[in-house]
Amino acid sequence: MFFDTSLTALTLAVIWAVFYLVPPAQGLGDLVRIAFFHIPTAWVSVLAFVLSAWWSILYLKTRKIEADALSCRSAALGLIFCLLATISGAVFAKLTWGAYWNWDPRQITIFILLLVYGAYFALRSAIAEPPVRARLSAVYALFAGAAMPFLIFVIPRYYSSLHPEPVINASGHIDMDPVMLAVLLAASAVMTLIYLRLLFRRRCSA
Amino acid sequence: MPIRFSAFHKTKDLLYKELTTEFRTRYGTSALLMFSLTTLSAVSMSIGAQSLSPDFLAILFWIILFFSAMAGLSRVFLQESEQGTLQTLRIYASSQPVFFGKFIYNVLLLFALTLFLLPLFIVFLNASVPHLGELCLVLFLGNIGLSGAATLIASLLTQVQGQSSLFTILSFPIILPLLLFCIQLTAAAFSSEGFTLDNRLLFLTGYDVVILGLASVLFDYIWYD
Amino acid sequence: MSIEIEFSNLIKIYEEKSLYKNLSGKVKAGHCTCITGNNGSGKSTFLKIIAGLSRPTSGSLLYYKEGSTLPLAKLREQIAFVSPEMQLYDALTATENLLFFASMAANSALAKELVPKALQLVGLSSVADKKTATFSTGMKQRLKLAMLPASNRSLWLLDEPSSNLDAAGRKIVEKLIEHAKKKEYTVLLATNDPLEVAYADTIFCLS
Repeated sequence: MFFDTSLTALTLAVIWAVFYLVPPAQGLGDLVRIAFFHIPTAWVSVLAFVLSAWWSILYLKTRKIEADALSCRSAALGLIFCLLATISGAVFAKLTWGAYWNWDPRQITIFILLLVYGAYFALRSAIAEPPVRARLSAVYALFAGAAMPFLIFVIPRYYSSLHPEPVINASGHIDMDPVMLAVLLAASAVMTLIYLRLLFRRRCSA
Repeated sequence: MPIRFSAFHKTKDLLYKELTTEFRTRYGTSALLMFSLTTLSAVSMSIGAQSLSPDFLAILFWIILFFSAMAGLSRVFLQESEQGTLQTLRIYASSQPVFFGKFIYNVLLLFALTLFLLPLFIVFLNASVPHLGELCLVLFLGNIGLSGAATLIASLLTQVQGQSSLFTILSFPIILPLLLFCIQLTAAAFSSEGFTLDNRLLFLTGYDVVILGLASVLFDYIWYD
Repeated sequence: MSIEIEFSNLIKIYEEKSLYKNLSGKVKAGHCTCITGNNGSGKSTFLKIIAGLSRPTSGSLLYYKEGSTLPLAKLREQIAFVSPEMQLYDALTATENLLFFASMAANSALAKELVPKALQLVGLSSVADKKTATFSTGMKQRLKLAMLPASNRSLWLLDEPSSNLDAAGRKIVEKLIEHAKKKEYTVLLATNDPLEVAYADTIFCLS
């Protein structure tokens, strides 16, 4: 109860910060505020996937069905956050560059993550027996997880990108305005807490 | 030492069995080749006399190859499951020889398909290949990665209902990084500009190694309950 | 050489149906034990659990060889299974089928030695080089049975071995079980057939 109240308060604080504390960005202006929603959700969707893969490993080692339930729950939340990240990114793209979608490398990556999530749940829905379902979806989650880094780290280096430069660029300097950075980190932390709160609330039956 | 030798021999025996049964029935290969021929013809007829850029040629080639692979590579496990021989195999055969035997069979199948498709592709679409050697290397590495991923996914689906449609859905996200790489490299091979086998080839090899290694480890969890 | 199996409190729930509750018992080494029960009582599933093809929902399953526990990996190398669901390759001849499975089960040198003898034991020597596709159901069943001696394994799991067999075929099953007893293999037989039940030393009944 206390956790929920403080989490709500923190979320409201961050939202206030995004609208009143952060100065308009160079070139992007007020539109940059969408990034404070988009980046945290994208971050959480990746985190959710990594944790889902972690619990998959745990399941294969221990065969405890709770590990599978957590893995499934994390994947479900990851899917939702991924959808939110994709949509917010598309809106940002439309407002900034005029098109919702143009297969920019980051868009490719997030789209494929969506496909992986979709495939994971398609697989789960096709298997009736819980232990078999847990085992095979764990295998798939791990296999897909191994393929993802090849996209995330490699493709952006090969395609020229409309996507804003990563915050931490090649030389290791942090390029952002300190206030923006602070609010961004706060937003990411709050989003992570929201994800964790939802994760441990109920078990997955899918 | 003796253990490793026997695994090698068993892999060979399984591969030999696959080749023998396929040679006698020719069920899978003919369907596969016809599928690729049909797709290629459809594309070629629609394009007519137009000449295509290297990028477009590369994309078309890999799309035909990918969908042919999706049509043909699941047979190694699907047919065993349908025939009832999969359970016999699970009792008497251990996991790694089965995986590698079937993986190598799928690689050979894809090589045969590529050998069939590439000349026809060049002829039908009037393509020129200034960098044939590099192209062959890319196709070689690409086929290995494609087979590795496809063989593991095919084995996953033996315990699932509604198998064939799920095969493409599950394979696509995993194969996509490979596909994107290969298309880029193939486009470079089709173009008359200089071709350097740079970091991209290293990534391709890295992908193959990771996917194959992980598939080998994960296969045990699929084969044994 | 012989394997002993101890199972306790086995529970198997399949598609929300509970097959058995707290099944416990021992399969003695070198003996022929029979599992019998009505259709749907879970005989085949039990054999699959013993074979490691299926996991029980809960309960413990231990395998012993000469007093010490046998790890699962080693156990799998000792199991020979005959069941109605298992098939052999239609495109291969009888000899090729047996040689293939026997070399996967043991090694190819041993396979070459054991396969002709196995074919003789089941009376299929005359059709050894004919494709299995041409075989009748009875002949296919005999070929499956030939896997038992050909695979050189010491834990035999038989699910209704005499199905599709005539009187001569049933004699073959009897001969094989005698062969197993002589070699001190452990045999687990799942059946409803009273004639087959007679081969066993111990009988478990699943209700």
